[in-house]
Parts: sequence; structure tokens; C-alpha cells
Amino acid sequence: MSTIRIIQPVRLDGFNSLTDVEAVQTVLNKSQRLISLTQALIMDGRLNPRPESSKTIAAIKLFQSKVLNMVRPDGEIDPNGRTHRKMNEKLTGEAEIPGIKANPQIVEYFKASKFWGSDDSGGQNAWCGSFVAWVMQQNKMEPVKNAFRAKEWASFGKPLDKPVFGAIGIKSRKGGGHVAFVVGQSADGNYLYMLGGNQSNSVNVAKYKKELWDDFVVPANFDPSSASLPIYTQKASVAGSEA
Amino acid sequence: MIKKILVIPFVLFASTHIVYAKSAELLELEGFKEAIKNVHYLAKVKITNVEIFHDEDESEKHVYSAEVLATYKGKSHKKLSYEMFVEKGEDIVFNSASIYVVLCLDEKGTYYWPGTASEFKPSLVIDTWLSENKSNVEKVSTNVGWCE
Repeated sequence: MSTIRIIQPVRLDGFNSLTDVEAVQTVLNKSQRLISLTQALIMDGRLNPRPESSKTIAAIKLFQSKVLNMVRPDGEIDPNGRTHRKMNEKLTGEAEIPGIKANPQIVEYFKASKFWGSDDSGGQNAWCGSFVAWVMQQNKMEPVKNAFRAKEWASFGKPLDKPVFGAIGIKSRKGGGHVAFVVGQSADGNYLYMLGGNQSNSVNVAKYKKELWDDFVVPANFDPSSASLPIYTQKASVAGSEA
Repeated sequence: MIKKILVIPFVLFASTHIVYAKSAELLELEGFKEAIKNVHYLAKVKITNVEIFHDEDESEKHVYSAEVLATYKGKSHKKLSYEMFVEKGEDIVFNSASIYVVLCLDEKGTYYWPGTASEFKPSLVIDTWLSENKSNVEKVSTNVGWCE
């Protein structure tokens, strides 16, 4: 869920669904400093049809030029194409800054969960719940009250009796617990791969014993009948630090 | 005239910053009140030491030792230790500054960290509220929801 999904190409002469374009605008705004975008885009899901006036297309070109080093950026994004894949890469990997300073993106996660913290280090400032709050907010869903506390997520939406792709998983061990998104399972079904924040002090996919996860929840309007849990085959870290 | 033009943005920036800081302080105060309702213990402490113990299943237990400066809820102690459960590699953050901590108490009488938003830096807003409500804090009804 912390990656964007686009169904059709985003380009000037494309279909450009509101959802696809808005997802792209979200990533571009998040990359504002990286691509030297002087003004954040209005996230309206629309492209200005006049090429010379489309700020979103201009920002896509900036992304392609500065992040992908394209010599001739075309301002087009194909589903699972090079630009799309690179955008999704940029959505993961946010890491803590040791000491009293904080990664500005993690501060954004704090804001999404209404946590007042200004330091992203240490068990005191564990930000897994804040990361989930930010992701849900990006997807127009209201985080739970006290979303900075991992265990509070057990009251979100509706519970499931088994994990499915995209569900929120909650570890309820003594103390603060942990929360992350289910993205897959091991071939033997004994491990879950979880996309979360504050896992080895960063956003990543980590492998956990399945038995450590107590609750799985999904949005109230989610239909679990067609949901599944794929075998995860990509790179993941072993469960590291979180709180 | 030019001076005025130069001063206006500065004043606007400064006032915006103050408003933001105030709202963050109020947010923290609300969090502080919420935390007190959900735990067994509140004290102002100074951390003196942290020890790391490796548990099974790749987790760690950090045991914080502290000198208690004032107790507001729960049993009074001069010194205190509490456990924070994290997984391997979590940073340890503490210094000599005093802090407020809210804690849970298990059936064995061990204090433990309830999770994020259980430590608060002293501030004018929190200190003032606490001094005005000190007698009520001890009596505040609690469901210790964060300790279940």
C-alpha cells in the first residue's frame, strides 16, 4: 500500500483516470525536493490538456530527468514501466536520522497520526503506527484514534481471521506492539512478509514468524472473498528493530 | 517603507511558527492527559542507566533505571526501573534531562513501557496543567487500556 498502483498510462493523450493521476501527483509532491519542484502540485487528479501548461507532466519530466537520468524525458508513465517502478522505489526506504534530528518524511508520518514527537530515534518514538496512518491518509482513509500507538490499529475497519495481501497486521506483545502491512508469505506458510515503518529503523519489507502476529484488519468496505496471500519472492530483511 | 516591507514577512513567519509551536504543545498536552488515563503510573524521572537484554525471537528488552523526582500517579519510589520491549537493534535514547513517563505495572510488580507516546518533556503547558491538577491525577479513573 505504500506503493502506488496505476491502471492505465498517465500521459497527455492517455485516459488519465483521476485515481491514477492523483497517485502520480502524490509521489511527485513527496519527491518535491528531490526533483527541485518549486511548487507542490494541486492533487486534483487532472492533467492540463495543453502540454505547455501541464504542471504534472512537467513534474514527471523533472522526475525522469533528475531521478532516472533520462536525456529526453517524455512525461509519460506506463503501468509498471520504468518511471512507475522508480516512483515506487522512492516510496520505500525512508530511514531514521540518528540523534535528536528527524527525517522530514518521518515527521510527516507523525503528523498523519497526530503525534507531537520531533525525534524519530529510539523505542520512545517508534513510528510504525504513524507510518500506517500516513499510508491510510494517502489513500483517503481516516486513521484510528491514537494511531501512533501500534496496538490501536486492531480497532481499525474489520478483523480477518487470516492474513491477506494488503491487510494491516498487529503484534500485540507486552508493551507497544508493532503494526505493518501484509505483502506476502513464505512458501511453507510459516513466515509473513510485512511492509512497515520502523523496521530496522526504516521503511522496508521484513520477514517475521507468522505466529508473532495476533490481529489482521482491513477497511470496513473491503471484500475479503477475493483476497489472497501470494508467496513473496523478492528481497526482504529479517525482522529487525521496531517497537 | 522598504524596512516595513522587509519586516512584514519576518513577523508573519515568526507568528506562524509560534502558532505551530503552541498547537504542538497543546497536542502533546492532550496526549499526556490521554496517557494518564490509560496507565497505572506517572512520574517525573531522570534516567540514569539503560541495560539491554536479548530475548528469544529476535527481540530485546531494554531496562531503564531512573531516579524518581516526583510521583503523580501510583506508588511512590525513590528509584525505579522499567522494561521496554523492542526488537534487535533499536536505538537507545536518553540523556540527563528530566522527563515525565507513564508506565504499566504487570502482575509481578514490574513496570513496563506501554508504547509510543508514553514519555513527555516538561514544558510550561504540561507543568502548569500538572500543578493545577496534581490532586486529581492520582484519582483519575482509569481503564488501563494501554496495559492490557
